[in-house]
Amino acid sequence: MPETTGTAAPLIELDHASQVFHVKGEDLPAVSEVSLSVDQGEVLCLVGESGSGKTTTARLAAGLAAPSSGAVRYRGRDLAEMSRAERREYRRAVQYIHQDPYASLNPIRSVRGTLSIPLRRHGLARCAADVDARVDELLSTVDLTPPESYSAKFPHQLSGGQRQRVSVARGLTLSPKLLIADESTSMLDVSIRVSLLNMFTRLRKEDGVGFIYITHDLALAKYFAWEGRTAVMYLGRIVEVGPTPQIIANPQHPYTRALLEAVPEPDPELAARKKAGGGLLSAEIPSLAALPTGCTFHPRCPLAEDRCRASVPQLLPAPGARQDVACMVVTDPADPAAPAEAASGAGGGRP
Amino acid sequence: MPTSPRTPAPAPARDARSAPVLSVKDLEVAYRTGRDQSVRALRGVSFDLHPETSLALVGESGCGKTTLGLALLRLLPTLGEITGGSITFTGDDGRAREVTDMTPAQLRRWRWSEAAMVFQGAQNAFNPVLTVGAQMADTLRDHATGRLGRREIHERSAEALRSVRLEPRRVLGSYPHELSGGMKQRALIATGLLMHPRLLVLDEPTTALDILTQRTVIDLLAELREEFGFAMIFISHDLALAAELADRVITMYAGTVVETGSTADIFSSPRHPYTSKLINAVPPVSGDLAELASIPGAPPSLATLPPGCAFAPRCELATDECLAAEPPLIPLVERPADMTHAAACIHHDQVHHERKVIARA
Repeated sequence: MPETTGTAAPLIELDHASQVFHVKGEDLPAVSEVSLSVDQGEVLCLVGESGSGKTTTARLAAGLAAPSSGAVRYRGRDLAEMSRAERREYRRAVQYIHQDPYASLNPIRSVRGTLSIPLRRHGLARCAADVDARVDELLSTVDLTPPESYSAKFPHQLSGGQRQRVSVARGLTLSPKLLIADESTSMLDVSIRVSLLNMFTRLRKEDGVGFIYITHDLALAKYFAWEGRTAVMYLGRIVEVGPTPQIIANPQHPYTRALLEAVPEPDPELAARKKAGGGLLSAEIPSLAALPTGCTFHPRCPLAEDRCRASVPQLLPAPGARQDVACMVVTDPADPAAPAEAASGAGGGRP
Repeated sequence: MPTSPRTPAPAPARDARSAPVLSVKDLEVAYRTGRDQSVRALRGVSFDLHPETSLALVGESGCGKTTLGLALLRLLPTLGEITGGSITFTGDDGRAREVTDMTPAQLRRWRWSEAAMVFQGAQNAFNPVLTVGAQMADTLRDHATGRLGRREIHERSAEALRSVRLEPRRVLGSYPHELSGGMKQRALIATGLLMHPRLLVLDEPTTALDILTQRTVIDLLAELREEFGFAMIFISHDLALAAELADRVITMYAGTVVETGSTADIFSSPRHPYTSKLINAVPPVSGDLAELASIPGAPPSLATLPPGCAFAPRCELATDECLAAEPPLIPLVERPADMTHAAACIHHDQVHHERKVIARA
């Protein structure tokens, strides 16, 4: 559960982390001032459309990129100040599972080869028998059973779902404390997706593995992170964050509401009730190279007021809700009629 | 110049409206896998598609959905072959034509002008080195009857792009990489609609798109169908898309139809255990938190189909009887216009579809 683990430093923490890319002489602020933390056995979902910065944020947490400003800490230690030994421990503890099982496995390595490399490199297996025992165990964990019928196979001999499981098994080789799973544009069959999520939940509950799960689909966030938190990102900033059930049932930010209304429902009656277009004024996300002034969401926002063009909203507690939201219209209603309208809009899409 | 959308034509079209646009009977497709070897990719697929209705083909990867879509337009890859059955297409003129008998020249005239396909993978379906305008012009030049002038090609392309809410001036001269994923998908749909076909087949039209883009594509398809009145077949592994867009659903498994019925019937009381499990693998965003269950195992290899019901090895209802013979489609609820609910399961009365609630919202 969030915020109940006492005073010890969280497993992973982003503290006002920003990432600016320099492309063709332009500064692209992919992630701006993102603060979040995940502790053992916790789950945090990062939700947003392509270009919202969720993958870059996850890469910062995984140490695959260093922040331009701000800090990333593992158990309270800043990654930038770690010694070699600390860095090694962090590398073992935090694993990233890539989204594309067709691109992320080396095609000329067998399943056993793929899984044995990290074991050997980190000195977790001394002899071939150790490797075999551990590989079998990992394959059983990801439900590739019997293990002996998979360990000699090469990626091209496996289906997409089986490859994704091998990818997960590779992420588990070093008994990680935190798994970062990027499923943002996953093309996996629905059944495979569900079995992966159920497996992740088992790892979280039984082994206390923490999760950062990246998706664009709030229905998946609802299912996977019901006991955790969801952070909605837009153009590099967190615009709403809180316990997942609250985000789903009582969304405060107009962008979160649009994302919720967009989700296709596996039920014709619910589907017919969905509002067309999600209430957004534009379907296209602006470019990071030419960010709108003030609240970057204002050109698409149905609630935008003049002040939204002038100043950047801060992430503040939403009145009458249990989450933080970066929207002045919600947190600081100038017009007394505004919050009532926001509340009824939030409930409008739900039965 | 016909720049207005298809208008309901008088007398001849009236007959056409009552006949199915497409009537598929016992369709068989095989892929050659070696000398004297082949696998049966489609086995005895039959259905009728009535004008202005939409049909979703659902199932996991490898169940034959895409093969069926390609076979309908005779677009199978070289190793694939229609080995039996018939595909009858009825045009606006009310004349029924047998697609499996069409010559290459007839196919060329028929495709895109009367039946079009939007291929899977919006990101790669366009040629990256040609502008969108050039590719739309190619389609028009190849499939239109008679020669079209440059001006007419431009106007028809622009009209198609406007119909999918794209700005022709921005898109016609653009290369595919200059467009966002959603714009590319809409441009592909525009290419499919260039000649106002009577039938549009879409393969995974929303897969790999962002959720907001998915929503715009779903809403757009619903609007276009109202506007142009085409019949639509779309292929999807995601049942939510079927719930949003389809009048009717066909579940495919191991190359054959295992359940068919109206969208309302299929979602409220699926009678094949496979359909029920597919529905329960998709999370709803509204309401209580429901448990999701994956379907154990994987679809069988078409080369080595299990005896009897192909789904039996993954089915908890399976009995010895299921292994004895492949069950036929059993009609359960009679409905007009080929909407009859039927399931190929001898235990259809034991399929109790419900979502297990694990937490209240």
